Amino acid sequence: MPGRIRTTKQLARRIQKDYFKNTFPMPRWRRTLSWILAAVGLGYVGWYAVARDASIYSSGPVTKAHASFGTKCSSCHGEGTGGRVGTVPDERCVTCHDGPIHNVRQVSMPACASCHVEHRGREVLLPASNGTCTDCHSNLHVTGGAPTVAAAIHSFTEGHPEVSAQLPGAKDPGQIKFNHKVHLKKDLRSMKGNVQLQCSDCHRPAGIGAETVSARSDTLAAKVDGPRPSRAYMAPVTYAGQCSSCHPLEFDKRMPGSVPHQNPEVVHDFLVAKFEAYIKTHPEALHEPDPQRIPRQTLDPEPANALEWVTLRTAQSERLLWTKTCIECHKFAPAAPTDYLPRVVPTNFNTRWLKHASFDHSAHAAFECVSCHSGATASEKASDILIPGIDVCKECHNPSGGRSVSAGSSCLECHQYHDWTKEKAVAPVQRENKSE
Amino acid sequence: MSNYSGVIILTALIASAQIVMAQETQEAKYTGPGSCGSTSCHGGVRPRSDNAVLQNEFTTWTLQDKHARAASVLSNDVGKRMGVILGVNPPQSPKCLVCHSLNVAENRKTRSFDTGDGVSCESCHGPASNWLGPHTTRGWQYEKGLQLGMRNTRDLVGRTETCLSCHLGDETKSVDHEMIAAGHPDLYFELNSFTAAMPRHWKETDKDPWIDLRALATGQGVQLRENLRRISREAKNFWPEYAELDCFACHHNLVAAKDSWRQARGYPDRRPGNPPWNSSRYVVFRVILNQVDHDSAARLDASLKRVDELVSDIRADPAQISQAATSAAVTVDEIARRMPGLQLDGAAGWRLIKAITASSDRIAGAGERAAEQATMVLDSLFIACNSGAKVNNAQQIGGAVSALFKLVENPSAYNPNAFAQQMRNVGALVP
Repeated sequence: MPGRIRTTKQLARRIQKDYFKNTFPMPRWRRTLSWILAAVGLGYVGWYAVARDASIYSSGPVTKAHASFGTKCSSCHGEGTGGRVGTVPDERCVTCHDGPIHNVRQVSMPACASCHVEHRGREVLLPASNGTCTDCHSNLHVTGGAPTVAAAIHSFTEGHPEVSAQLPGAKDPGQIKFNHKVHLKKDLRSMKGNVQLQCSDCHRPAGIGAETVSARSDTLAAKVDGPRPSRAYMAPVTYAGQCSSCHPLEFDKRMPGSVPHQNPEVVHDFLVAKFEAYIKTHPEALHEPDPQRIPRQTLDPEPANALEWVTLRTAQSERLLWTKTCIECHKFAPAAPTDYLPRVVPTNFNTRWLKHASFDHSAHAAFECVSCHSGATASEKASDILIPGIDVCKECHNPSGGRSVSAGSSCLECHQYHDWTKEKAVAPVQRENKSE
Repeated sequence: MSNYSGVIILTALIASAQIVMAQETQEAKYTGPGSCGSTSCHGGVRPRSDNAVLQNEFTTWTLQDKHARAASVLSNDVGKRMGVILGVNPPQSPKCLVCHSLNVAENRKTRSFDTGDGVSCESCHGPASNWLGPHTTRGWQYEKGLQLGMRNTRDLVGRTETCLSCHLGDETKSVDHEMIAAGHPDLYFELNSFTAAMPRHWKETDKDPWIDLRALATGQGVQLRENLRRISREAKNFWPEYAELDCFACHHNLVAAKDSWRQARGYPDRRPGNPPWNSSRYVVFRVILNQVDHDSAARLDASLKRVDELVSDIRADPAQISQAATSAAVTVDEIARRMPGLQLDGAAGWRLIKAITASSDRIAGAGERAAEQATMVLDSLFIACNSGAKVNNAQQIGGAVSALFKLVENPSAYNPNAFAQQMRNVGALVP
């Protein structure tokens, strides 16, 4: 076969017979780099180990609340935690703060960390999704019978019940007479002439430490407002704060001023003392007879002495106070035969309507009061409940797009998981060791 | 055609029903005095000078005014006994409540209304529901209230009518001899005296310093007119109505014949034994009228003469009495309506006192109730004259007038001679 130039031998020569003895570049680099990287890694860890710095193990920044732990992972993880670095047992959390039980009838107790996921950034330690709530509440089972709350809540717009204040049979426990319509009318007669009252003339936000409910239940508001006084809730209306300027408790034309806004016993003693002091300095007041203008007119007998005068004047002032002044706002309990003074029914103001939810007025400050409390201007009785129903909330807080696309509708927008009324005090265990 | 008429009738019925309903919803309701008594409204304790009204009206009413206790007296011992005698339960009987409270239909009361409040703001000022809110607004005028059902108490005739609806009676309210027998006091009235005794809770908007003189004359005229209208009603219903007669013609102390001033006087113009008309609302007014309007006084006497004769005759025909009283009431109405427009001053006031005391024999002789009326009128005239322009011997005159009150303290022991003499004593003192 002329022209044929490659022989089998030639071909066989092309194959390096000891090729398996040589090191090729790729594996060589792989191996080299593996060693280098391992060495660098060990060096890195070793370096931090020598420097006693554990931050390299963190999966992300911890929240501000836990910032004081710094890089001391063992504050939550590590020794005594069962050896598993990835989890934090509840006991570790409750060393510093109590997490009161959600509800005594709950059938399972989720771990703290199942909701409070750390290392997600500086700000967030609360679950972002409704899932943690609806896991139970979409098909609620509790111990000891049926749930007392809605058993199938899927979201704010699906299955969530009406606010309790708007449920049929809801009653204002308050025992006071008040007419919003009259107070808000045009040209209301006041001591200083005609005025136009605004809601805010009487309803003012409470500050922290004021007569609000548990400060802890206002954490949402505190979060919004920071260190400023909370403006989440309205302070309860008080006589001294809101009523006294137009409804003074005047008692006698001879003396300026008002009786103290206290129970009838205190008022009685106050009146007696006032009139005793007055007759001492004005003895001529004993003799102020009414002239006879009608034949056989029975005129009130003149008091014979200062004591009778004080008794008469006190009785007159009390007649005015009990039958006119006090009952403008208050109710009296039926008098017992032995009562010589009326008994005022306790006002029993309801200071908190949304018992299971928190509300922040300051977050809604851009709205006029009546845009939610629409019944206020027409309300003639104090027993009218002027708390808006849930439909008013849903106008904006709606996952399917209400009037405001950015108004949240997650459970934690309004609710708290922990029942902070059951919170227990926890002794601090942290100690900052400066020498470390 | 019949189909159409049916539709038309039905439509008309629905329309008229709607109109009736609309009227009913607008019908003024009574809100009770509590609606007025707020401290910044009418419930202050001291009169305020920076407002058209005193703003302590409620306080004056509730502390000093017997009207505030009008309902509670229905339950006192006298009230209970009257109830037993008359066979009614006074705190609930319309017969009593018409005057002692506000006896209005349930659908005209608001929830704040309480019958126990007695004679309160709305008894005289009218149901408040339609004007309660508006009347506190800026730029409010009294006349707007009148359009909304507030009663005009600034008009002296209207004011007197308001008082007299209870203090003399009207179509629905009366105190007759039966009630007096059961324990109710006989009714008597004099506008200025009763206003002062309330006491007055307002300041007059009329700035005439002598308005009290015009008020007195008006009160006299209106109460005579209302007396005549009452006689006319009673004569149609039940006659003789002894409450129209002089109580003390019969109810007097019996004395030995030689000591009887009645027999000494004799019984002019009536048959002995007939009790005379209680002309107290006429005998003083006629003297006043004679001073301010001589011609009218003559007409008054002419029309009242017949009434006096008929009522003082126990056997007179009630139909004639009713007719005479009705006709006289027309004359008196016309005269009374002119009284608020009189021009009277202090000098005129003193002249009135002089004239009344000059008529002492006739007035004192008309009976104890006439003497009472003269006492109140002289007292009111003296106070009005003296408050307008003080006189030097005011204390003396005041003492002489007080002596008149003493002489009518015990009506059954009334003596016209002593009373007439004391009237003349008063007359001798006035300027």
